[in-house]
Amino acid sequence: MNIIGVSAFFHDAACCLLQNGILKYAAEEERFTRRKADASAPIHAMKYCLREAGLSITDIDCLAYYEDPSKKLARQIWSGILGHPGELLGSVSPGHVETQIREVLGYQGQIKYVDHHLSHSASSFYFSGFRESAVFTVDGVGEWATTTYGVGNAKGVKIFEEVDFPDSLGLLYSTITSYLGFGVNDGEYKVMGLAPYGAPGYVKQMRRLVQMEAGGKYKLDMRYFDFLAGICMYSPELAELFGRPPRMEDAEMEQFHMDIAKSLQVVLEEILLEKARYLHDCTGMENLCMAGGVALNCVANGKVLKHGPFKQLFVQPAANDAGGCMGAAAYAYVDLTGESMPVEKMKHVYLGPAYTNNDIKKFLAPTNIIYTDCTGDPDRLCTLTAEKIKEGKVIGWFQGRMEFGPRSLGARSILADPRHPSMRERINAMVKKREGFRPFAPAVIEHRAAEYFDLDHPSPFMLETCQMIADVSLPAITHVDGSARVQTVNPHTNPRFYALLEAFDRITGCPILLNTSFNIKGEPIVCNIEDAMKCFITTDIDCLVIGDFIISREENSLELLQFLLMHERSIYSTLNHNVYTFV
Amino acid sequence: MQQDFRPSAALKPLASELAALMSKGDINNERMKELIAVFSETPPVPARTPLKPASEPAATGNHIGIWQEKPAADGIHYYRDIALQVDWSQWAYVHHIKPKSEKRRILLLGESVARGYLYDPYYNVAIELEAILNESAELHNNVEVIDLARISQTLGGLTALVNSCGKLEPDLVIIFAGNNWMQQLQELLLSMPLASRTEILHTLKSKGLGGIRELVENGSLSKSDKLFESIRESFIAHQVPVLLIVPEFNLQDWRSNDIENSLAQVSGEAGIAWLKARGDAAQARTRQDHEAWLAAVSEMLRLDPLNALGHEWLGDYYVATSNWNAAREAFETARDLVIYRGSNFTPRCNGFMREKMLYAAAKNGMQVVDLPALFKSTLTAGIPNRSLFLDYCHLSVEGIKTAMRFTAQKVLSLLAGVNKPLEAIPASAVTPASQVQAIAHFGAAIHNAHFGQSKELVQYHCKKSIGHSGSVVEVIKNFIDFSARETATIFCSAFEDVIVEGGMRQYEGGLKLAHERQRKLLDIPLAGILATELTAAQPNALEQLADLWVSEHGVGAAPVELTSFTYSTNNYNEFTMSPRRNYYQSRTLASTFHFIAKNEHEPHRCTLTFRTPHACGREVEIYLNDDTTPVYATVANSAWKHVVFNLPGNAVGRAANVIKVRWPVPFPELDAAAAGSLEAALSLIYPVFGEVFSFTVQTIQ
Ligand SMILES: [Fe+2]
Repeated sequence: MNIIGVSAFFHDAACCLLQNGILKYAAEEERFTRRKADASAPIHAMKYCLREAGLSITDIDCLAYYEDPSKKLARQIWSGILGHPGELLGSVSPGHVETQIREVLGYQGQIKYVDHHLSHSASSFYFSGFRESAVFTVDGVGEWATTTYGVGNAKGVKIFEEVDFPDSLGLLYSTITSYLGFGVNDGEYKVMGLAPYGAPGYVKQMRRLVQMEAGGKYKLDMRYFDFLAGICMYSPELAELFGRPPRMEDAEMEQFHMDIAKSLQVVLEEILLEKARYLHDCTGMENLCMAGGVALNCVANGKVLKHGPFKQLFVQPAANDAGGCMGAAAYAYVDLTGESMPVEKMKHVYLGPAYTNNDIKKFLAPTNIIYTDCTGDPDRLCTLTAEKIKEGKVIGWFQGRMEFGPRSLGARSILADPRHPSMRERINAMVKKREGFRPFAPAVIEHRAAEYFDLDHPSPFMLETCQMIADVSLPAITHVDGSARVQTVNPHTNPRFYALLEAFDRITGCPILLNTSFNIKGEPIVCNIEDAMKCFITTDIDCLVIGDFIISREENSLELLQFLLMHERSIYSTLNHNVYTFV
Repeated sequence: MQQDFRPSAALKPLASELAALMSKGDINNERMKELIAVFSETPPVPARTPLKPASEPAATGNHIGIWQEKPAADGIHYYRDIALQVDWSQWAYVHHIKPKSEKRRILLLGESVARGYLYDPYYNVAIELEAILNESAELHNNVEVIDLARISQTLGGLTALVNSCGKLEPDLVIIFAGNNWMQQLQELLLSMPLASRTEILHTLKSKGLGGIRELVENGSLSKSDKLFESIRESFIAHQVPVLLIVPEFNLQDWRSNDIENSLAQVSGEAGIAWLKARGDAAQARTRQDHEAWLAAVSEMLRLDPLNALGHEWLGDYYVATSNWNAAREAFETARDLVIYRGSNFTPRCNGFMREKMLYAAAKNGMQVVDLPALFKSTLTAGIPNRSLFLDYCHLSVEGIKTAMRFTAQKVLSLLAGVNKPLEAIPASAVTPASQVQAIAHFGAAIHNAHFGQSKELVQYHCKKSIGHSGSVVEVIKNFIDFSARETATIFCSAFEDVIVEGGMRQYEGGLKLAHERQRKLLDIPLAGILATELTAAQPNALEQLADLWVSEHGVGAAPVELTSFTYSTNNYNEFTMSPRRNYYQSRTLASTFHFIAKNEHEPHRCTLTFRTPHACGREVEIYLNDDTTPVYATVANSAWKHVVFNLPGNAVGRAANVIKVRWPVPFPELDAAAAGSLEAALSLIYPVFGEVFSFTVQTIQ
């Protein structure tokens, strides 16, 4: 049975293919269109899935969509869309989703609509490897629900309680993100990274934004929020509450902003922990599955596991809406076949397109680019790369299938020496052009992780933070509070990345690399050979290791190409990240 | 305002009920109307954040175009702003504009036609005009033309420039523009609220394409009023004369493409009859049977008066019978009927635009050089063609010289007060180097090919190019090389060579040779024509091209997707649907795909997933390198159908092969398209013939 899963039309459109209950292919549309967080019908991602599987559209048994358009419409009507000027109303057509699926995706077969949070729940439980588990989803908003409590077991996934819009922890987080001058749906991660620099001096005020209620419930004090009107996330009262006007995008980052971030983080952790305890009380289960955008807050996840009642935690690595397509597909599979999903933990996220050495060679052949060919000698490739990293070089690392989900995990990564004192500033300045305060994440050989970090289990998806315990200085990857966001790497799921870590360990005695996503500021992570070349050439990355080939900046003169690509760049546009659009 | 800043919880079930009713789509449901009334009357939670005023477009302040003001003791100098370097190639290759001297100063504003597109920076309109005037006895060496023309200049951009360039203290301002103003229509259509789009749909249905003329005139052209106002305020009010040059179109040689002249608005039986008439006309023309020719063309026009093809063929008929005025009229009608063509709009100044310009000029006290009228009265047959134009609207050297003689005549009158007959105003002695002309025609060959013009016209420009200078051969070889590569052009060393050597600087700095991401053309017909023309200098050029194609694109055991951009088109004529569809749509009777076979006579296997939304139960036929006998035929349906078939080896050639899918004539149900979207409206003009989800080819193991 072939099921296509689709997330689209809000943020992070994506498509996946589930064959007989096995997740075979998945990709976000943004990677192909190069428009960050592209929400449009995932035509490229869907083509990719079908092409790789050798399927025709007539071979698809069902298309599972990650939301119920009718329920979503109900929420939009209630939010006041009918009272808004006509233009907004015109874009809310109840048949919009089906029209897009039929006309744009060209799909004529059976469609199954799976509720947004059921999709999130399924995306976590069915890929957790747990036989039974409590399921906790937290995001901005789907249809009505923003937070749900459920269980997964042999009978499937069920939600037994939910918190409805506009009460939403995701929107609370986004509102503060916006108040701090970062983009909504894009800057939440930065706020989390900012928190360790702050003191929780505004916890009292922060608690006024959200009142805890009985059971799983909580309520936002809407006096401080303006997102219902669709112009700005926060109301003037929020600034009054904190005693400072909102920070403008390029304004200086002050201690106040860090304190706000910290206070938000503390309050979020309190709430999540309290509600997780409630969920545990209701279910009595040992395992917890999480998904939804808020579940990408790895600091909070760590606290929930450490201080909460659950023994084991699985967070869907694509916890954002992109991952909804997987859950919808899995849910539809169980529903249609009456069979259960295979009980197997998701081992990796390498579900996107790969390119062969032949593809790369063919790409390079008509160019002037000089490269080192390590075809057939992966040891040499890894040793040469490790040496370059040791020399302080910054590497663009393009290997195998692209990651699904928001994190680069060693397939499309920028790598560097974590021991280097100035490496954080260097990469921030030359590639990321981002706020210098945030450290990068470490990738570490799995069985060596415990030597360096307070971590007693694998962390393959960079979804939790832990304390650095070794007495070594790794400034580029360690937070001010001594924490790090670790990815553990084993030889089974990413043998080449593992080999590189081993090679680096061999020559330096350090089994850790700095790992960050391979992209230019404001653009999605690179997908194909051309994207990787463009990112390498137009930034100051020292070296591109692509398949079995190594391209060094110092061996090439790339100025002309840089100039030409600069001219080409301006045609791409990005989404408006200032406010959620409730349509 | 609600007490707790949120809509009442009591409304939630009602919202759910309404959403469910709306989703069912029963628009006459009484309960639904009731609920809509409830929610329409419930005010939304009011915004408490004041709306920020939309930021004003970056003030041009001390800029004129790309030039930045630098005051000095002797007056204001202007230098190109390094921060705007990305835009430099759009403007004149002039780094420094000095303060006004004792010379008479003329400003030239306009679009690519005023840039001298494809000759610039070596030769252009400003150079020619300045030379004519300085060679004249009256203004001898006392004129400078400041070139402010910009490629792809918009109405808005032009207005802004008019508002800023007065600081250059002109004695005369010349505006040579109008070709790009139709772009406004496209923007207008896309920005319209749904209700207005629906109105367009009804107008289209009742009055046809001509029915939206009014809309164009009232809507899109109203923006040009702003331009004329600015001109009046900036110059005319200050006694600076303004001369407006109305552009002309390549009437005889620029033809509508296969999307534009596809079965527009006729379908079913009428469509079949139109196709028959088209076949009859082509045959009669070949036989030179004038009577049958006219009869068949008249039948085409009777069946579909809005199709440009009928008018073009009528024009051809009148040319053949030396009826020049009638021919001109027919070609002008054809030109004006093409007002929307998806993403690539070939600029043109149509009849009603010209009327509007003439009217506005007269009203505002501007002088006019009306090129259409002047060409009509001075050309032997009165109809401009390839000798005056490099493409649709860009002038050849001969065209520039002729147009500037007309212009100089007016300038002499305005600046020197003399009225000279045209014969007394010779073209300038400036002639672009043969190498420059060779590159211009090579650029024209590419441009014509990329807009789907005929092989014969592309060949003409190739021959002209090589005829002008053999030095173009190296550039052509590089072009053939990078076009054949799968790698994006911008990375190819052959492209870098062209850029470094500056050989194609005339082609928008060479950058025009590159392409958008994943939209690289394989340019099979163009490369074939170029290689053929090269054979004199390089006898094995065609074999080399074939070898390169085979090594880069040769089909092997892995399936190759023919609906990809590379293999499904040879030009940028495209009917753009927004958002783009997940599948290939054909709005023409036949879809042409290409594949590269490694070996002659090698059989291949194809898979095809296709459907015909408006022609159920009719046959789709597949042709290979031949238009007469199909290699495969199957009945089409409105549901996707997946078929597998083989291409017989005997019909397969080495390297480039052409597979044609011939669609049945559609019978669209017009009401089904009345969904109110712009796409639905446009689909009425350009109906879908067939759709292909996937079409692969591979060798047989
Ligand atoms: Fe979500």
